[in-house]
Amino acid sequence: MSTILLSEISPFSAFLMSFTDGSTLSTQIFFLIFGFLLFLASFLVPAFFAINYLDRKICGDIQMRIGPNLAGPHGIFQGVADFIKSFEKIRTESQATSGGFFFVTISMAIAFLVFAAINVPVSSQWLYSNVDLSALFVVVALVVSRLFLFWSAYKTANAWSTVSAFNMLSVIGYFLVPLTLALVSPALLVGSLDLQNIALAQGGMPWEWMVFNGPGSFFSFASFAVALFIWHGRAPSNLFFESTSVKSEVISEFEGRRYFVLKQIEVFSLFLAAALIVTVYLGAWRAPFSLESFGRAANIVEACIFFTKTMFVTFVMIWFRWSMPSARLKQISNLSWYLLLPAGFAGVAITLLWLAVSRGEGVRWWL
Amino acid sequence: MALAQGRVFFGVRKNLATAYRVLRVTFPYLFGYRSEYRENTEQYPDRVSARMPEDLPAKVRGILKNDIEKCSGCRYCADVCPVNCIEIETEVGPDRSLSWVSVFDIDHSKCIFCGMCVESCPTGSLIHTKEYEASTEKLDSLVMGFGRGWVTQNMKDAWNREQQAKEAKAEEAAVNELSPISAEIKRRLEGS
Repeated sequence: MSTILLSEISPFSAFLMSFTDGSTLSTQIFFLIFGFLLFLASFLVPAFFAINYLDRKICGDIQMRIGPNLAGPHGIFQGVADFIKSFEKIRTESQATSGGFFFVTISMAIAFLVFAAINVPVSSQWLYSNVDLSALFVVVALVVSRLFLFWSAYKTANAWSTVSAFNMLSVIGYFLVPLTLALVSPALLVGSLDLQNIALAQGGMPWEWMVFNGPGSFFSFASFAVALFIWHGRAPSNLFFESTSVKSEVISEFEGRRYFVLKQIEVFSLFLAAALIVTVYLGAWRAPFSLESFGRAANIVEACIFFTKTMFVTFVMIWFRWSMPSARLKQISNLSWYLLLPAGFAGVAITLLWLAVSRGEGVRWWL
Repeated sequence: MALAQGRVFFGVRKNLATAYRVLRVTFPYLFGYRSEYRENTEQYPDRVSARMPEDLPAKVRGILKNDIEKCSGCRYCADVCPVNCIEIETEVGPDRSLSWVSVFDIDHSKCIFCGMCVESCPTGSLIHTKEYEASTEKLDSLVMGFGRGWVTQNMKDAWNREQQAKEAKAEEAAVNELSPISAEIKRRLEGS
C-alpha cells in the first residue's frame, strides 16, 4: 500500500499523512482511523454543541423566553453541559426495547448517517471518502438510515412508534423522488455525480453558485432543499421526530441515555441536510478569493467558509421550524407530488433546454 | 381531476406566501429590537438574580399551608378541589360543637395551584405561602399533613375526665351562684 493508494481511499487521511514523512502500512492505517475520527469530530462538534444551543436560543427568542443563560456567558456552554449530563443518565431498558436487536438497528441508523457525512467535501483536501457517484451514495445512505430507524420503531410495538414509523416509511417516498430528481440538473451541468466535482464546478462568488447556473437550477434547488427539509424530520414535517408532542414518536419507548443518543439523530440530520444543500447548490467550500498563497492552510479557510454557510442554512431551517406549525401527512404528500415533483421535472427540462441553447456549455444564463 | 393545473399553481403561490409570512412574523423576535419583541419571562428566582421569595407579589400561589387551630373541617376546600388533592377526616373532639380534624393531607404532587381551596375557605385557615421550591426525590414527601392525628382511647379518657371535672366544677359553681335561701333548700332536699 503506497501513499497514492491511500489518497484514492481517503484524500483527507492522505492530506494528514503528508505532514509526516512516514509511509509504512501501520502509519497509513493509523491515519486512516485518525482521519476518520477527526473528520467525524469536525461534523459532530458543530452539530451537537452549536446547533443544540442555536436551536434553543432561537426557540426562546421566538417564544419570548430567554433560553439557556446559566452555563457560561449567555449560556453558550449549554451543549457541553448536556453532553456531560448524558453520561450520568441511568441506563434503563424497558421490556419493549431490551435486547441486542435495538442496539444493532440504532447503531446502523447512526452508521449510515455517518456514511453519508463522510462523503461531504469540507474543503479541497478535507474529504474522507473518495466514492464515485457520491451524491447518489449519500441519498441511498439517507434512506437506509431511516429504514433502520423504522425497523427499530416497528419492533417496539408501541402504538405511537408504529404509526410514526409508517409515517416515516411514506415520507421516504415523498422526499426520495424529488431529491433524486433534483440531483439530475447538477449532474447534467457538471457531467458528474461526485460531490467534490460538483463543488469544484462552482465558484466562490454567489453568482457562480450552482443555484444560479442556468435558469432550471433554481427549480431544482427549491425541490432539493424542501425534499431535504422533509427528510430531516422536524416541524413542519415532524411526522416521526415529534419534539413538540408528549410522545416522542419513533423513539417513544427509549429512555435515559439511549433517548439522548437518538435525539441527536434529529440534530445531526439537520446539520447533514444543510451541508448537502450548501455542497450541491450554494457554492460548497469555494472561496471567492485566491488561496494559492495560503498553501496547506487554505483548507482551514475553505472549511471555515463551508461551515459558515452551513450554519447559516441551519439557522434558516431552525428559524422556519419554530415559525411553522406541524403539517399533516396529507399536506406533506400534496407538497411532494403537486409541488416538488413538477418543480423537479421543470428544473430538469429547463436545464436540458438551456444546455441545448448554449450548445452544451453551462454558462450563466444572463451573460 | 380535482387537482388540475390551476390548483397546483395556486398552491405554489399560497405555499410561498405562507412561508414568507411566517418568517416575516417571527423575524423581529429573533433580534428583539423593540420591547414587545423581547422576552416576557422572569429569571427563575435564585441567587443569580435579585428576586427572592419575599420579593414575590402578595397573591402569589406557592405551597399550601393550613392553620389547623383555625380549621373547622368543613371540607369546602376538598369539595371544590378540581384534582382531589386534599383529604380530610374528621371525628368528634373534646368540644362537641367543633370537629376534630384528624387528617388534613394535601398532595402537592397532584395540586395545580389554582387557588380555589383558599378562595372557598370560610375560616381563612388555608393559605398559599410564598414558598415554591419543593423538589424531592420521593413522591410521598410531597404529601403534606396538617391534621391533628387520629383520636385514641387514651385521649378520649383524658377528655372524659376533663369533661367530668369541668362539669363538676360547673355544678359547684352553679350551686354557689344560687342565692343563700335556694342553696339551703337544695341542700335540705338532697339531705332528705
